[in-house]
Amino acid sequence: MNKPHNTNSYSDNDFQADQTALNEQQLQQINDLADGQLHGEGFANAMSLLNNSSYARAVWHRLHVVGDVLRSNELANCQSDSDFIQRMKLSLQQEPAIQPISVITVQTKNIASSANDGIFIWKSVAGLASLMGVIAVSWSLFNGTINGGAVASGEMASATAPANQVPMAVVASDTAVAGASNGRGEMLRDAQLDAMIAAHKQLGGYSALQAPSGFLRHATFDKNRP
Amino acid sequence: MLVERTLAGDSRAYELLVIKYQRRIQRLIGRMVRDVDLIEDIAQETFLRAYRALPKFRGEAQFYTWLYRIAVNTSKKFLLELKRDPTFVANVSGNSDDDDETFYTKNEPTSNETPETMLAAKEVAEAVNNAMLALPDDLRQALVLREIEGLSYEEIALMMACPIGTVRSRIFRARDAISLKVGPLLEHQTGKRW
Repeated sequence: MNKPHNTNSYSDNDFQADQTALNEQQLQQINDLADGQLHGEGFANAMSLLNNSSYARAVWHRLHVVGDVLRSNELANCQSDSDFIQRMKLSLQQEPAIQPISVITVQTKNIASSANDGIFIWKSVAGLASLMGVIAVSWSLFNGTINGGAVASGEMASATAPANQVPMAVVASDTAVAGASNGRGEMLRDAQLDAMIAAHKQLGGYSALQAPSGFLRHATFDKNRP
Repeated sequence: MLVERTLAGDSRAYELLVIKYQRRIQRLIGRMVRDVDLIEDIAQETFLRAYRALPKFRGEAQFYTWLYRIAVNTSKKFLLELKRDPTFVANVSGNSDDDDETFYTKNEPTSNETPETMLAAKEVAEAVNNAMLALPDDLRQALVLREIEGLSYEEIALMMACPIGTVRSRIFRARDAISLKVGPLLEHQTGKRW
């Protein structure tokens, strides 16, 4: 265990001073990291190793080349990998540091705000409009509370009056007084209706919709009223 | 984990992600653009865009899937800019007066694949495949299930009816054996600057 790995091909002077052979445990850690199997202390150790040893990074590269080539021989061309990574390093050094996620959230909120958000007069107009809306709603509610009874009774009257008047008008024009009466007024008889009911007795009590239709034969009115 | 580490401010962790995915991303871009100079530029731009947008990466998809989308969008943007570039249009239209061979040469995908690089790539591929064939069955099966089938250690342990620790060991030994064969070739190809 922990035997030095074969580094014969990496003993060139081009290697950095910290480029030392990795033991088997370290290689296993890099292998596990490649598969996302490292956590906690093991992960920290592997990252430290990869950050400080260019040999470890070469091992990391090799592991992924092996995986890529196993999936497709097209990916065996690694001629420019090192140059590409060097260019990326330089580019990343010029990039600003990544900001913490909380700062990014605040920035997103700023981007989502309206374009005229910074203009004071727009804020004043918006506030005034909101205030007017509240006053209007309050006023209507206040009036509704004060005049609630009157309004309700008025609505009832307007709702019931046409219902009473229209049938009476229709009845008055199309029917004749049959002479039958009770204490509150005279009963009207419609001769045509009676004939129809006599012909269709099944409709005398209930309509086809099974709703009582007796009111058709027993409508009354008060002749003393105008 | 490497993404989280990058988000914590460790740009070296992002370099590891670049090493891991750059060949696949370059191949993807190469299928859309096919000009070797542009491929590397677009790949670099893709990784930089991904780096800048990394705080927005929520981990709902795999990192490569997310990176793949960025690469496709970056390639499309480059292609649109090329079409708008009058010098590019002039170059293409200027070829119409040339003979067929010249025309096709200029419009065919260019490549950095010289005979030497093609040979080197072929050697790497052969070394990997031969080393794979030389592995004991249990090591080869574990590596195939991991690299080609993309199974997790837990799934491989179930399929091979062995503990996860054994799977971990087998995959490591398989990779190590192949790496020893391929290492010198890769060192020759890529140089030693890591």
